Amino acid sequence: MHDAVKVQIYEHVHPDDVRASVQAGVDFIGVKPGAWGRSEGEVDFATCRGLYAVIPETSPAMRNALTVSTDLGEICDTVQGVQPDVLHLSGDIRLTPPSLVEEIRRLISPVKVMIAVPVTDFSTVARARSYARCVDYILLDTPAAGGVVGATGETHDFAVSAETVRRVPVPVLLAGGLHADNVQAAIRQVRPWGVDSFTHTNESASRRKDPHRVRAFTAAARLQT
Amino acid sequence: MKIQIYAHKTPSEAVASAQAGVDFIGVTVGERGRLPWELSFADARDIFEAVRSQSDASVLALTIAWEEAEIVETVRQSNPDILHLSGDFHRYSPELVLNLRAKLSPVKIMMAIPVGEPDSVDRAKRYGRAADFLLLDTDRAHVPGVGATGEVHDWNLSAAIVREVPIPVFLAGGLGAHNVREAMRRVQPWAVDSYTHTNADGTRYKDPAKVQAFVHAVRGPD
Repeated sequence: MHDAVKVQIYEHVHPDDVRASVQAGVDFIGVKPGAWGRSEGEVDFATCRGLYAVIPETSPAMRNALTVSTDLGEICDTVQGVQPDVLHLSGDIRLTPPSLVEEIRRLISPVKVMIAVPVTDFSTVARARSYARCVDYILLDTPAAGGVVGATGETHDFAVSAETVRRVPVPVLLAGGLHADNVQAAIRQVRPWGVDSFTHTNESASRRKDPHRVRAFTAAARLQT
Repeated sequence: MKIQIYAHKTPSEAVASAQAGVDFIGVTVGERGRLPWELSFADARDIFEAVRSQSDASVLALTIAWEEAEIVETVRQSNPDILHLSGDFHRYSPELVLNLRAKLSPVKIMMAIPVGEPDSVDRAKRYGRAADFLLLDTDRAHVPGVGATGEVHDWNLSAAIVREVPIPVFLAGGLGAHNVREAMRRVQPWAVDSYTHTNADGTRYKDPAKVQAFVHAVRGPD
């Protein structure tokens, strides 16, 4: 009984990929805009706006802007530059404490805020709870090297994620190493509000999305069991 | 699955619900006599402080006020985590909700959507980007505002809304231990809400045994 689960897909770099994700019923269309060369594969603001423009007005899909920046000025410039529905903070979480995120959320309202929380041990629950007041969505992801989170292609400890879902009063998206063959089991164990995929829905050895893998992932996430 | 219960009137009643596993503790707040069972700002604040000090639960202030100044005063004076707008739906434009959200952040906004008419899905979608949570409740003319009817509505419409909106949805209206599992299966909301069927028979006070039975019905088999 999970056919209402939300699906988020990263990263869209080509209009055809956006079109395919919208058609597949993806709820959160992820793009990574940036003007400071902070992360591999960033697109400039004009490209990002062009990708969003592919999404029809009538579509319920949300336009996400992911940034690894932790600088208030850069973050606000990014939001202003691309006008997303959701700002996704995915930098070193130690540099974006709840007080800063609360300020960002107030400054950019009505744009919603998602924060990526790296899943380690059960201390993750308290860390996620400390952001509950100042974000709209929490994304639980696998830690990567250098303090950042995500894009590892690997899963994390789902027991920690499941406990976090039970304890935080905001919707949780589960990320990290998910694909069409493991997403149902992950949903059953963690019970997230939504699921996210990047690595395993990419075309092999490229930054483009594979529309078949996106469709397979979305269908598998929403399979009625 | 998250659980929300209305309407608490004392700190001990509210703490009992939180300790039973309720995630969202609701209080009806107002000082203009709009509802017969609303609490003063000071009484609401006492309840919220008691819940925060003794549990992880979130606290909500429900109002049926529609004027921005009165709503802002209610939030500033009572200090909830979430403001629940439950008055006449037509008086809350998405623009008003957006203004309130920007002004009151980090307090979040729950918007009650009356479900019943075929245009309910379009109605709900108009608030999906302005509000933080939607609460889908039964639309009935004989009760002020939205909800508190004890009756269920068309769950097919609610199920469609859950799939269409990009924010978490609370299902309300006529839910009790007897029917909540079926509602969860049919609608797949993020949270379920109970008021009428967890009150002591014929009163507006909570029956702790009914609250516990509701929580058990939601979470028991999981």
